[in-house]
Amino acid sequence: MLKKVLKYKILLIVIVLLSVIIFSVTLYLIKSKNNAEQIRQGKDEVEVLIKASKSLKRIWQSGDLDSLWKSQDLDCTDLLGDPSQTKDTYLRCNPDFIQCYFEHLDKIYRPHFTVLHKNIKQKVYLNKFNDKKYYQLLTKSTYVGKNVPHFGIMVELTLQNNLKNRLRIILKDVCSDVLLPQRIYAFGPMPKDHKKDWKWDNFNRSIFIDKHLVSNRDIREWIAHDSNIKLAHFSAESMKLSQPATTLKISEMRKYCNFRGKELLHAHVFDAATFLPMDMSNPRPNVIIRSPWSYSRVSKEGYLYQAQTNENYEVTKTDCTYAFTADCLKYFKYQNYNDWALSFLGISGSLGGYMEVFENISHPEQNLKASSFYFPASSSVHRLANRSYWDGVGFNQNNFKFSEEVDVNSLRGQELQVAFRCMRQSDHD
Amino acid sequence: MTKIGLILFLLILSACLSKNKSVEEFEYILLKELVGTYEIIVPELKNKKSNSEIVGAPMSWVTILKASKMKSSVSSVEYICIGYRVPYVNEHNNQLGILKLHKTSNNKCPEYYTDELSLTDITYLYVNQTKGILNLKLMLASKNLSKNIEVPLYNLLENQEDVLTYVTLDNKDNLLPLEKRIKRQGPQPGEKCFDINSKCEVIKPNVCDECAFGSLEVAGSSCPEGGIKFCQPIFCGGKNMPACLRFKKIKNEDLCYQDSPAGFCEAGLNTYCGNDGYLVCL
Repeated sequence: MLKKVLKYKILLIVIVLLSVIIFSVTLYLIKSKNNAEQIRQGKDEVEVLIKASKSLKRIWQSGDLDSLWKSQDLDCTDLLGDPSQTKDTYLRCNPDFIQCYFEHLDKIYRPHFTVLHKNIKQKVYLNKFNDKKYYQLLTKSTYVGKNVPHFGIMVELTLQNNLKNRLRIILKDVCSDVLLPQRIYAFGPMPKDHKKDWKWDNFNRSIFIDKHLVSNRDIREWIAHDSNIKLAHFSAESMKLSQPATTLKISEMRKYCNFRGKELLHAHVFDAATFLPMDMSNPRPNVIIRSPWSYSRVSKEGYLYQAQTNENYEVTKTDCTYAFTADCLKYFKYQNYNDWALSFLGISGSLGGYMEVFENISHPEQNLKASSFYFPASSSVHRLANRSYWDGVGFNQNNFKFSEEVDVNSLRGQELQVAFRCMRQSDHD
Repeated sequence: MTKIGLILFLLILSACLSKNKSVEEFEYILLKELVGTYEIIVPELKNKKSNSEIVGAPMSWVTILKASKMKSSVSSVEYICIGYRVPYVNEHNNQLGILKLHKTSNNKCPEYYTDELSLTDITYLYVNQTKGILNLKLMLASKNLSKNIEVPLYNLLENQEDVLTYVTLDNKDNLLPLEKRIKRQGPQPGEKCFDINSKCEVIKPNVCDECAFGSLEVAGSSCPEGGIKFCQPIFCGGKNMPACLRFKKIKNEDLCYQDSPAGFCEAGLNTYCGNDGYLVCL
């Protein structure tokens, strides 16, 4: 009897143990299967997010690829101003365009990128920061961090169903400036004795120069980012957001450039970016011959030469794309972010357009490019390195000094506008 | 019988609770952790093109990869270390290799890895990095299986242009904006952010990347590392101020002397070699 009970007991224990083992094994297998599935899904998610980030990068870098803004499908006057007053370049690496683009989509559906991954279409969404903006502005001056760019935005991407993985990315401003080739450059007009030429070089360092003049939108962004900034004369009328900022004092211009991790453009660097090198293949020329025109190597050639030597010369519309002078105002208004008077480096407005102020350490009384739409093409101000002076404070004629041969009668009583651009130096490209 | 059953039960239970990862899971962890990596610090891996087996004293830990990435707050850097314990297998021992991942805010990988994120059972390990992809080739002893783990290092230059940086991949519930710097950390405007003497000995390592408004290199140096740098804004060319840079050399050539053309000043001032070894305007 006792034996029988013992037998049953053992049998019972075996059954219980076996059940536990079977249960554990099943549990383990289910867990492994789920785990493997989760891992596979997780890896796919990462790849989908990375693919979506490339699409976002394209919009950031290329701007309005579908011409939505120009065709007025995007209503972003408050953010970007009037489309008719500017070019598409304005929208590249422009945080307000990102906001505008996705806000527009938001009216139709939740903004997303559709990514094809393993033959399945997946939606990747752009998250909002504090339910307001699709991006957060990043500059070295406002955020600490090893890899914080001198200027850029941070955005966050997430997947629709599984909110497990969110990808934060930084999009850097790679659109606003151009790299000055490393070579020997000359500063100022060409002297009679080439041995007295003021030369410098940028070997072993990288200098980046803004392609376009700083805009009112740029300044508005700066003020919005730092409540301590108080500008004496600035007001950003929405319709002129893309136009150059022309009411800042020189001290305010310097501060703005600093905010972007840059400095106000130096006069000798502007010369380097606008004098057309005679031989691009030789970075170490002994003698630096230069023409006063950014569009021609020959000094006795081209429309400005004609206009300055022949008083009957009639300026054409095409001429205005080489230098936008007072004669051009009868044809059209000056637009920022255009490719007019492009230098060999891609700097716009090398001649004509707006007056532009520089940092000029060695010759502070020559800190202004007077070549602008204030003067007719026949004026001698329209020559590279033919600089004037601005005191950096006021905007009346008294605050400027032009050379004696310049006719300033037309400027009387006018508030003159002075634009600017920035540059930065770096050890690496 | 009871004992055998109990042992089996415990074995299965321990397998269920084990922190050891499967190869796939370890691969996924690596993928997630290395998305934001912008720098590979362990020099052997920087340009390791060909496969080479990781060797070392048996049972010792070898750091096979050290990488840095930004934390989601952007304000600080996190370091990822991957350690490999070299196997010790002979007729008396059967201690197989282990891979472990360690995260730290210190710029130092441990000598002994104690972390839980591990992959065990490894007979050998080959590592290389080509075309911006980290490649681990390993053999798992129990499964007699050779496995390749490929992890794209998205942030490295080989994989993308400079425009995009991956910061982090996380699963936090709320998207919090970054906090602005309230107290200015790092080198202050006008302070030296890189200092080097005339013998080209670095006195202060380059932290100019942390300057709030960029940096300015002064004239007079000819060291391969470059010249002394100050955080902007600093106005060069004025009286008693550093001379502005006109050109620089990176081969040893003395450019710091009176009237040196390597720098330039405001009209009426000349360049002089200052006590700190760079050109000043007087």
